[in-house]
Amino acid sequence: MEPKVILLVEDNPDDVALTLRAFQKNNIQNEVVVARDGVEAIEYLRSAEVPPQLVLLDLQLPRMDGHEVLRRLRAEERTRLLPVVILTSSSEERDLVEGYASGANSYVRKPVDFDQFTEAVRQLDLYWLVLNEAPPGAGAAR
Amino acid sequence: MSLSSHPDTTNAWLTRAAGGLTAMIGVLGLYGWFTGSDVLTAVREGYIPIAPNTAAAFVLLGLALAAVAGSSPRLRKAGGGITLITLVVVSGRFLEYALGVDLAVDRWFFHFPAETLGLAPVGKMALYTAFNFLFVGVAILILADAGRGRGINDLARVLAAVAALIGLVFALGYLYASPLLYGSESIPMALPTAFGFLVLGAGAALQASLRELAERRREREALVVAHAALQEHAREREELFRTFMNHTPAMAFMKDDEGRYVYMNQPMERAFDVHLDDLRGKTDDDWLPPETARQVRENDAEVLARGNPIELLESVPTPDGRMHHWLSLKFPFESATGERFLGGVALDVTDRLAAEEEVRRMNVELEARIAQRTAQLEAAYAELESFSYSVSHDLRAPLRSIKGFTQMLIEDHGDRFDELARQHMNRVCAATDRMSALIDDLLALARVSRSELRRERVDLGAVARAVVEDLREREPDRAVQVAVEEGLFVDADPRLLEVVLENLIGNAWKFTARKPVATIEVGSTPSNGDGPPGRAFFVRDDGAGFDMTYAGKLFSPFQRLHGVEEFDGVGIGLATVKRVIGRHGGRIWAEAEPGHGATFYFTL
Repeated sequence: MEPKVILLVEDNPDDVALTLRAFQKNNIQNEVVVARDGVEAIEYLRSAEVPPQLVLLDLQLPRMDGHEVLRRLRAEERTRLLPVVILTSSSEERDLVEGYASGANSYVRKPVDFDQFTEAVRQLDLYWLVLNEAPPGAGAAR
Repeated sequence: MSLSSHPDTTNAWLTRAAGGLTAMIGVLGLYGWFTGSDVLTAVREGYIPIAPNTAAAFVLLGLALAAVAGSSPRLRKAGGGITLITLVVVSGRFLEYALGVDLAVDRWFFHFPAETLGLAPVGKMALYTAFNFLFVGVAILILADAGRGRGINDLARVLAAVAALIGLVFALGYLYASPLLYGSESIPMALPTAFGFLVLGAGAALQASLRELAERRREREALVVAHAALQEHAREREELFRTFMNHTPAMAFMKDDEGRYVYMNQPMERAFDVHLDDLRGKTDDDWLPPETARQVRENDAEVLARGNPIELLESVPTPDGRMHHWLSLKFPFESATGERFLGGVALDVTDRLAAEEEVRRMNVELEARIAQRTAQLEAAYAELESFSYSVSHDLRAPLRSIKGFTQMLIEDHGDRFDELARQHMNRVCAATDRMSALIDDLLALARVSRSELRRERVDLGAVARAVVEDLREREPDRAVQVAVEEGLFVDADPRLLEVVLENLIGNAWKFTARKPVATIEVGSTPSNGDGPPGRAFFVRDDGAGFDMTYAGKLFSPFQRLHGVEEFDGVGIGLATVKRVIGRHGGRIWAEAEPGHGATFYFTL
């Protein structure tokens, strides 16, 4: 089977670097595709042959923010069932509410501490890539 | 009706003259007997002479009459006395006739030989005479007592008149020489006697009439006085009532059923600069502006038609052109003669209405201002919202980078650095941690101010225990004895209460870290002394405590009473707690001793 793709939607290059490093430390083999903003993310999802297994979505994005991206994803048949984990600094209640309301599967707060972050990524990987049953159509060849 | 013993001296001289004349007749008769004079006793030869007793009686009664006409009560009593005695003697004569006994009454006082005048029988009082003396004697007796009523007075007059009449008749008999009047069987009355009776009777009758006149006059006078007194009283009452009407601050008026003014009180006159005298008989059309007059007359008509009092607000301008509003009470009523009137009382409520209007206007203004403030407040909140939001994103991201890359440095290249360099980097990491915690606390503080306060019945004890559990989980190695009181129910926002207890118990947990076994208590106490009345809750620990000198700084943001090496923290927690307590309307204060722990009290 082809390795599953993880789509990381994140505009902050530092955060991208840290996330990739976290993946590395956890020996995550999946290909990580990075989209710098919402528009890129949607374009990628539209054009990709195989939908990613997991989307890690930041909320603070230029042009189109994370909530909007999520809503668009959920509006389209192709991406309606796609597992999306909101990965953000915000612990604001309204972001939580809106995130879940828009159809996020999970909401994880990015800790400042890198070790904690690494641990979080490990757990995410363990759950979403290993344990979780992906919806049909994700990760499979078309 | 009895009269006071009021002297009736006017015209009494006539009576006295009559009495005097009568007495004179008697005196002359007696003198005649003493001297044997025919003229004096019988007037003409051949006529019957006056009996000596009769003459004596005339003297006495004449004097008595004169006496009773006088003003002195003693004189009148004397007159009465004399009369009484005379009557007794006369009664003796009656007895003689009645019993046929010769009591020789006429010889009691006088004794004249029968042969003196060559007439027989002589000297006896005639029966007619005796009767007459009785009549006139009773009359004089009545007159003697001035205090008798009118009926008795009339009797006296009648008796006296009868006596006089009889005397007149006999005198006329002498004049016309009619033998019938002599009385064939009994002794006829002597001429002087008849004359004497005429005069005496007339005098007594006159006196009785005078008495009656005097009494009538007295009655009239008394009536006039009483009438005057009554009028005066009525006038006083009317005056009092008028003063009352003119001093009431309300206007009062009366109109008849055609709308014509009958009365208006002074306040009304003053208010409209009119006079009752000018308006009496005129209607409202004559002095009010046409529209106002029409309205008023309409209201009046309704009151009269309904027959019930009406309360209404009328707008009538005063002469200076200002419109006034009157609270009018109009009511119909009837006089005793059945005439219908419209009564009215009116109070000037213009000022009151203006005040009400002002209040209303101010309320509207207030409402507008409140709406404005609320909008401002909402705007401020919205700003705070977005501020907090951006803080939570924008401030954390760089922190993450700093910490992350520093950690990477240590991990990947740590062996290239010396101990000092590694320490530097550790400090960088530590600082980043603190900043992160600070951001979290600040956000929490902001959230506390923003969020709505929803009061529910919360078990404070349960929340406390949950917080303790959480702490135990994070630091299972710590040995802490916790005692939480049962039944601590409060009305508070559960989430905010959690924040409070997290901070307070968290602090207690933190500041007892040095003790091998720590004790934390959560409970309530009836507050006294400094605190507000009611129940106060507390969180007590036996940890490091603090110096009470600096207690004022406790709740200020960023103020700490311990160095960061001793105990961790940025000093935001208590500020947050204070704000929560404040929003619940409560108070928070603390007591502590260095080395012996601290107790934080709060009310909700």
